[in-house]
Amino acid sequence: MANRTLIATVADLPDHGDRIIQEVGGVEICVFNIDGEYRAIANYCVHEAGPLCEGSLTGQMCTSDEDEWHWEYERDGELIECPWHSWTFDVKTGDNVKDDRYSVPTYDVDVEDGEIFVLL
Amino acid sequence: MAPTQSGGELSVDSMLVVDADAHLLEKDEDLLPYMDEYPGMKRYIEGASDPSVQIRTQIYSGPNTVGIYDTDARDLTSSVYDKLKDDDESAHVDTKLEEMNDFGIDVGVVTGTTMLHINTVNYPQAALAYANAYNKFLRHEILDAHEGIKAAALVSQFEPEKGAEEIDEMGSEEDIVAVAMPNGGLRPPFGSKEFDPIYQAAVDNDLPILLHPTTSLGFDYPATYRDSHTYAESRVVSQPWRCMWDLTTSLTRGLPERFPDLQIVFQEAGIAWVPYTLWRLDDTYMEHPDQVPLLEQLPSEYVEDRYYFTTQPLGHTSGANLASAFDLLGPESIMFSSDLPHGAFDSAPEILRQLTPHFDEETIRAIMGETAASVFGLE
Repeated sequence: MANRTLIATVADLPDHGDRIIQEVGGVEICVFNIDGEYRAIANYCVHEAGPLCEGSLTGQMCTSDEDEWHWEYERDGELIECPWHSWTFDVKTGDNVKDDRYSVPTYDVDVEDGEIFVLL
Repeated sequence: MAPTQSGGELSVDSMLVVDADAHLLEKDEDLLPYMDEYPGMKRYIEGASDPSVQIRTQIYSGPNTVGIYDTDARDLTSSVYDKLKDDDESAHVDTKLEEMNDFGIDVGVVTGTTMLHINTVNYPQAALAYANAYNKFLRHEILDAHEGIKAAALVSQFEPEKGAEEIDEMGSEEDIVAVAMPNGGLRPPFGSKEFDPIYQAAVDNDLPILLHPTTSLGFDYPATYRDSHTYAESRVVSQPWRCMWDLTTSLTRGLPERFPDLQIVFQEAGIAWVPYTLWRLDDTYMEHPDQVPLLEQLPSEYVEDRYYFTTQPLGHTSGANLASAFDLLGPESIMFSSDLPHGAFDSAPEILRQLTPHFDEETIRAIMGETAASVFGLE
């Protein structure tokens, strides 16, 4: 059974984009409020071991379905960009936005009575 | 990488050797008879006392080898020019076959020489006239003359729809096996959407695109040219610089996603610059994801799939170093080339001798000709 560790309260992370970084079992884990959902991801970039979750939440440039040439922007606030070299990952899945062979560990989260627990 | 079991037994005579970058030495006088469709430019070129200066001034915009051709006996180009002086219509084919025979080459895929500068003429109309006349020259004097000589239909950067017309016109010729898009002075760069009509026509006619750079630095880096004292220092960097730029823009601007079936061949920049550039491209792809929305996989993966690089000029180093460079890029992406009859040519038997200790026979056969046979659709 996974260890269940209290990492924050709902009151600590009231708004989209709020985050808290805690060490749990020797691993730095960040819990984000992403549009009212709580997501936990390792504060570790698989590129060069940078502090991933100290970077900005961002979105993704993509091409339009119509002509595959003009640029559009989507998923704003769902991706975390490493402050070191801008490698960018999906907070929900941990997958790199350009190449999902590169992935950062994510963790299940429980919310109970206003308290946020990380399971690992 | 595994040494061949047959040791020194492999020879150019025992395998298919395809020269993926060979040249004709066409002159204005060869092309003018085919320029009636462009009477204005024909009149202009005929009337010029020296078209190479008045029409194609920028050919000499950087330090060049002017003067060497007539005086330096090591340069094959000058002796071939001498043979071509007799105006015999078969002279181009005969001299090319002679060179191929001298170096054990079975098939030569030819582009022009003067026409490599088609994108640096001073008059866009002249570029269109030259491309059209050169293609007609191919049709009347080169194609069908010998099974060992294949050619690329020429396009210029001006009015890409005209380039597409040239490709469609020439694409049905059995001996046309590629599209030549010389990249010396190419503006905008290769990856640009403006050239989509050319790329679409290439795909429609199942022809790979050949990118051939030129040596004079002035074509692409006019500010740098001002500091370039000699042809020698210009030659070192001009071709790989140009090809780095076109490899880069083709990927960052999503050419392989826009035309998934397009095959691309980079000529005359050698091999070793490619892995270094790909590492930088992959790094940039991951570090600037917002800047490359058109790509869906690592740049190096597209290159592995549909880009090819010809060997000449390999540079001066050990056979072991060459083999390492081939391994870094991937031997399956590499095609032998000689550049004959130009003065910087590489010899097929010598390349083979250097590769033989380092690769198995199948890999060597692929590099020397089999990969080219597949890319160019040779029977």
